[in-house]
Amino acid sequence: MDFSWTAEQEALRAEAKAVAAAAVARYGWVADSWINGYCPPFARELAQRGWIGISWPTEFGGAGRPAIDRMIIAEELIGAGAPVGSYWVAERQMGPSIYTYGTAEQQLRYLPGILAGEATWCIGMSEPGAGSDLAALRTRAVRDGDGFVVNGQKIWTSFGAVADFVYLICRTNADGPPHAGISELIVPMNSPGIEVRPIKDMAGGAHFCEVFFTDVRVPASNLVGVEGAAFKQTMRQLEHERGGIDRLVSNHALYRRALDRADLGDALVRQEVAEIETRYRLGRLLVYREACGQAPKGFSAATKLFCTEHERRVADFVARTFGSQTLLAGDVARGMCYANSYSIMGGTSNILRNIVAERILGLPREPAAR
Amino acid sequence: MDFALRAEQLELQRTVRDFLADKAPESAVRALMDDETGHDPRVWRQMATQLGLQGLTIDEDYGGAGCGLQEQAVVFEAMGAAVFGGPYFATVALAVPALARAGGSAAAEYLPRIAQGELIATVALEASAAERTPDGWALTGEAGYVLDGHLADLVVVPARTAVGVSLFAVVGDAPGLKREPLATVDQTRRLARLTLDATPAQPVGVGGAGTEILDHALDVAAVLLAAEQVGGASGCLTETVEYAKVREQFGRPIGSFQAIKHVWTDLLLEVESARAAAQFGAWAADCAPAELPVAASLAKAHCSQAYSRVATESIQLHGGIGFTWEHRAHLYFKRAKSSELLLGGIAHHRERLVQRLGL
Ligand SMILES: Cc1cc2nc3c(=O)[nH]c(=O)nc-3n(C[C@H](O)[C@H](O)[C@H](O)COP(=O)(O)OP(=O)(O)OC[C@H]3O[C@@H](n4cnc5c(N)ncnc54)[C@H](O)[C@@H]3O)c2cc1C
Repeated sequence: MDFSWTAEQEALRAEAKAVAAAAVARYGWVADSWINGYCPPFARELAQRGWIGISWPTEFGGAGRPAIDRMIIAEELIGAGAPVGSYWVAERQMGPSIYTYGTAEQQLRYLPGILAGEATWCIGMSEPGAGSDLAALRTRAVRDGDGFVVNGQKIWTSFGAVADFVYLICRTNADGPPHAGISELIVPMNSPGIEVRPIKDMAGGAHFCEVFFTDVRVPASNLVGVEGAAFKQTMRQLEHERGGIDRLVSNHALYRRALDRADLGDALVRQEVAEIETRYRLGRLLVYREACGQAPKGFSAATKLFCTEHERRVADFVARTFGSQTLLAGDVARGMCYANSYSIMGGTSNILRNIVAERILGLPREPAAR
Repeated sequence: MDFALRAEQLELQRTVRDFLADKAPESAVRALMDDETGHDPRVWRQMATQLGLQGLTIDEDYGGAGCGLQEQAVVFEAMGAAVFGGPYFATVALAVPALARAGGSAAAEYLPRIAQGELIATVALEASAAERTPDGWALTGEAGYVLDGHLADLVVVPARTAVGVSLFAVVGDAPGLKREPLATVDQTRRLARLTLDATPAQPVGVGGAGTEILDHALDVAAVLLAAEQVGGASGCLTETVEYAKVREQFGRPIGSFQAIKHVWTDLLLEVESARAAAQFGAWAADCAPAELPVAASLAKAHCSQAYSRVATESIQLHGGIGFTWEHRAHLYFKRAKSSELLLGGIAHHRERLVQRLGL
């Protein structure tokens, strides 16, 4: 057991703090900045520092640094509200999927754009009829000569309106059990036949979209991994999505502002702050344990659950602390509203509870629907 | 950052678990619950002579093993899982850190005897009044809720002196010391009321340093209690989840119902985060002393809550059988509650945490 940081890591954190402060001064801060802070110029700056893909293996253009270094940077950037959204999803999970499962050609073609902070990616998983039950998805990719023809619809696609590529989870085979027959395709968002319709969210933003696919042609060379056997790849990708610090510090910048205003003379407020500070510190340890690869297999669902439930508590504290100011449109009100999404996106809290109960505790599955 | 136990720590964990499985199975724990003293001197001696457990963190100069709090935490976690009782906690988690911090002649006199398993020790947390006498010092006062005070060969007692609170050592059979065992709800954790009436006492550490020494000892004790709580919570959780897999109602295992899955997943998170809190606390005590005060209060509050929740829900999950004396669930429940309230409750430690964060 060793909870200390190396001198290098301390220096990295100090540097990340400074970079975050500079970014906030230049571009402004935003809560939930990994999903709401779309800012390509900042992504290019970070790329120049070598901070995008810092923990990717060197043979794929990364810096090969330990995964925990990436968490240090992310914690400082997102915790301060610096806008990391334009590259976030790509760096967190598309890149790792491509360097793990993709072909050499795909790696050469797509990874450099991510590392340069130039490319924005979105994830096409959820559909109107397939949310929690992802394996029920129906968007189809049918083989046609040296390519696929895609038809169907995705929904809640974050960054759909600005993305250069969609990482599409689709069905290449409809026979057999639902988990079989799922494949992953890289689809350029400018492909003919794609239509994007932004959806206004309850906080008033429009970062997620409906994406319609009508006879969209995709070269067969864009298939990632094994045709019809991608469900495992998709689950692996979700581990990257769930085990990270972004799911702990989304509204940390708001919390710090609230703490400055909180009535710390009030015993109840002090008790609540103690609880928030406790869970923040313990959430970090759970995340760091994921990054060290020392969490039990499948535990990332539990880590996300712990961290997002913390974020929801923070949002509630922030809203109450700002009192009547929360009634006015602004950062605090938006934070209060946005918090409702923490326990939906990336798998709802109840779905994560099912996963943890079955995978970690080994409790019996639900009886199947008749 | 490294979350793994080292090889020697794993070895220690195995050794202690094996020892407890052999010497302190549930039947032995229950036998001691009915025993007047709650203590088995034979096992106590074996702990010292076979495993060196009393002297684990005591300096090698004093005949101990010179290990850190992280090793000590491994031992307490195993003991918590076994709901192991007796005066080990009072001696090793309270008296040893106080004596070691105080140093000087009292440490030199008593720590070697503790390491040998010859001495049961405890700490009283309420201050008496100290008075100089021709032969030394005499204490007068009262202390309630002294852990294993009925058994202790040595009681460390804080007392007011002209230079502030100082610590003193009072031997168990000192004249003027009255020790009344109290009937406790957690029969694996005994308490006594001590009354001192001009009782001769020997100074421990520098005069006036009592508060500083005790604060430190209490932080160490809080971290070790947190480790014990994690062991109890984790053992209780594992046993309960196993029961949920085999108990059937409505034609299916009750563990397949979401109402049960979801509660126990949330509890798993409480236990896993509690483990992180306790481990961080022990590490801080060994390697980052400046972080100990925050880490100790954080761990004590969080682990207390985790264990009490797990133990309470365990009874619920078991239904009627869980409410019986015969079932093990109440051993966990009572230990969880006695631990939650010992050394300051949840609200107390949350308040301390906020203070220590400078807020
Ligand atoms: C802000 C935001 C951004 C998102 N970004 C993306 C994105 O970029 N790409 C993408 O593909 N998707 C994205 N999503 C979609 C998200 O992954 C889904 O909304 C989520 O998986 C839930 O699916 P659903 O909305 O269909 O709800 P449903 O699956 O219909 O669930 C409705 C309710 O039923 C509960 N429920 C369902 N099944 C069970 C069960 N077995 N046991 C207990 N309870 C159950 C759920 O917990 C939930 O409370 C985003 C969502 C949000 C809110």
